[in-house]
Amino acid sequence: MAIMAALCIMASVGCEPQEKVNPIQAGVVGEWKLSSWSDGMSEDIEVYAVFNNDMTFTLYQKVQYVYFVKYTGQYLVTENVLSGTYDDGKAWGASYTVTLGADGQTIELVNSANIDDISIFAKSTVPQDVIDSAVSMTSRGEEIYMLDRFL
Amino acid sequence: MKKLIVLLAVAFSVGCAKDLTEQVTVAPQSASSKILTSSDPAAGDMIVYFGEEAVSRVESGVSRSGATRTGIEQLDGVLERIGVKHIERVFPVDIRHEERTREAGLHRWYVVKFDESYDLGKAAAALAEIAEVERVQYNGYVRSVADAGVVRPVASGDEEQALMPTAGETRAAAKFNDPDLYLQWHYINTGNVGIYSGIKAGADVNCAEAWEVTAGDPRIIVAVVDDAVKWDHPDLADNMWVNTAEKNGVAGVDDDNNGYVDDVYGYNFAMDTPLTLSTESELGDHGTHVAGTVAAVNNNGIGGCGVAGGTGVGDGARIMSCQIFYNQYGATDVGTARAFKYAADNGAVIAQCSYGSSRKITSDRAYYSISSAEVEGVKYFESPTVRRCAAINGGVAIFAAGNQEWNYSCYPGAYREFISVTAMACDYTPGYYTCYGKGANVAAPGGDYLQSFFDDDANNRGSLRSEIYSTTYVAGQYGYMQGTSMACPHVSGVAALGLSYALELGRTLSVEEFKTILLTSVNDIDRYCTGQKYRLAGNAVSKYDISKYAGKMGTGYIDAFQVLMNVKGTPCIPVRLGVKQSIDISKFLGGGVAGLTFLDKPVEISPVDKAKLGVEGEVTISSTGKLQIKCTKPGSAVVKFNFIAGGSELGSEEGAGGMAITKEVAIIARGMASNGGWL
Repeated sequence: MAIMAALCIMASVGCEPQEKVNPIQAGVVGEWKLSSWSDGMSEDIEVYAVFNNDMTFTLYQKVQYVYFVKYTGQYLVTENVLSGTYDDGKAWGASYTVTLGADGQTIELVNSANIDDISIFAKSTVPQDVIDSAVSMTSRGEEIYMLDRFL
Repeated sequence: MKKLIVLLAVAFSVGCAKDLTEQVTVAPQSASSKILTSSDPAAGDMIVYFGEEAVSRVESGVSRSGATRTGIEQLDGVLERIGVKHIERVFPVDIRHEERTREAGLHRWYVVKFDESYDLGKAAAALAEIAEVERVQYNGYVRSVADAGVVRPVASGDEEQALMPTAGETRAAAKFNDPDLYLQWHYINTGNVGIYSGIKAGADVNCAEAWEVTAGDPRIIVAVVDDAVKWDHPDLADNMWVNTAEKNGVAGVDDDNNGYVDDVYGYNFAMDTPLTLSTESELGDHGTHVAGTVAAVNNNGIGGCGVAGGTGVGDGARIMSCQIFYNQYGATDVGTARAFKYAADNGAVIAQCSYGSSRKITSDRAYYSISSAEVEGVKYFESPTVRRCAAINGGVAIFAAGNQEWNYSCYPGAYREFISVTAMACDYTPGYYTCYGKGANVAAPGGDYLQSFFDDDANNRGSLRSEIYSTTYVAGQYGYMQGTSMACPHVSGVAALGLSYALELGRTLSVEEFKTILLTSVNDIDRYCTGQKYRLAGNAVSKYDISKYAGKMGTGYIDAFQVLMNVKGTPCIPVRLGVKQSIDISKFLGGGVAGLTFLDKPVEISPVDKAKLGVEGEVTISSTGKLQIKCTKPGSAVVKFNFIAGGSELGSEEGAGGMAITKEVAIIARGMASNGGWL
């Protein structure tokens, strides 16, 4: 009887499942700046991405406008695939296959639907003036730069 | 009674524009082919342009002889015959800029003063015989653009109080405390029906949004080429450009050796004296009025505002007074040329020119033949080699289109390289008086007196509120005027804002880039060119169809906020993959894009970029002004749009027309989120 009890104890200690941390998940957390895209990138484009531990993200991007626009939402990492949804309910344009740089200083996102669409982000703190000046999009995707400031 | 007087005053002003068809005389003999005449020349006055090799001999001869001989024997014989009094350079030496003056060839221009009774034709012929003389030109007088209805200011008081908007209205839209800002619908139009019953909110230059970004910079100097600006006006003084060397120097002395004496706030090029306020002319404060629109001091608790007037801490753009009108006198071609060169050499980057020829000139060549010195002066002002400011390589001259109701712009505004401004009223319609059509490039508020004046108002007091409110001095410190003369300084002020922002951002623009920005930062005006409105017909008013203006007011009406955003940078056009897109490009080419005339190659993309993006089919612009393109591979590329700014024909030597514009925009072909997010 005692031996069986000992075995059970040993068995129950050994049965506790360990928390598995997805290294991709851990690797994307941080602040990043788009450093290159496909075979080149216009100087006029700037994109910062912030992935948080709580599975939320923030994007600051200067693409369609000459000032920074802020997007927020939630992201998900499933194995090595990154996907997400914006707070306005719109899904990301694609999901991305993630490759972490060996030194942890870069992440490469390849569009799952188009392997020619490759974004490489380098670790970089988002500048305070970008954060301060960025404006939000409405849920209808309208720029509200003016409304925010001038009513 | 007041109404009747006002009507007559308006009719007179409009009617007084001389209706002369320009004579361009090119005589048959070879020597005479060097002669450019004018039908309004100064007597005893001739401009002579020397050949490159001859000019150094002329220079030493003139300096040795006390400015009455050149040392060229045959020429001196002619000079003696015509009774020479004085020979001097058109552009006096400014030792700081002599090198670039000579590079531009401006040292070859001379003006010869001689016996006024000597026949001009004979004098010209004799001078033209001289081999060393390349060209001879009569020195014609500049005429001002006839202002349509210069009406004296209405004193503020009970009259104004009764029609003030609710306190919240305009004040909420701007952060300045100037008490008269609510009258300046042309900066921020909130639709105050006290101004005009048919007023439309938004018919303005959009200062409400622009002023949140910048309101000016004292390093940006705007030369007001006009009557003298009242430099000590309480709402202008703090924004006057000051030549400190002259201000602190000795009276009667050219303290800074710039070729002019006592030029403290500018100079009087009409009379070749220090600035002199006009006192005998109803139009005397014309220069003061336009200066106020450019940069009346903002947020100082008095008067109104100026587009680039600052925020009340001494940060407004600066006004330089380049006087070419004094009472009934106008500067000659030489005087006007000197005004532009002076402006450039003393730091101005915008030339605000609410004047023009009231002669019916319809080609660049014809205008050049009567005002070649002036045109060369303006070109020097705009030249990229004449650097005086970190924001722009060169300068931009902005002209009024004229008030003669012609379907073509007056010159020099109509000159193909120069910007010409048409006038808009407070309801987006064209001002009844405005010239339009060939040579006109962009619109801005100029007022329309036949609106508030004829409002069906039981208390009809002949209100002028639908005109433009600014600084004056002839009959009060503030007052109303209307005209393309008033529209022009709105563009100059907006340009000053744009360059102020460029300084703040550390950007340097080329003149072409900046002109492109000014002419594509517009909202559509053609959609308002419909229906009827009043115009003056003699002493009466009559309704007329305004559809004739559609497509002829320029690219649209200027928007100061768009100018600032375009100075900040050019956004990319996102293009989705795998599907033919029809993309709105009004953000890049202005709100009037559907009405633009594109050139032979409306949109260009290099073969390399086409292959990179896997473009299928042609890249085109639809009839409604949309970019049509299908990309199949992700990547970024540059597209160029080529179009005409102002009208449907390009200006040329032979005929006035619009300016050729190329705008480059980056496109990014990618599957982005439907809300535009990168991921």
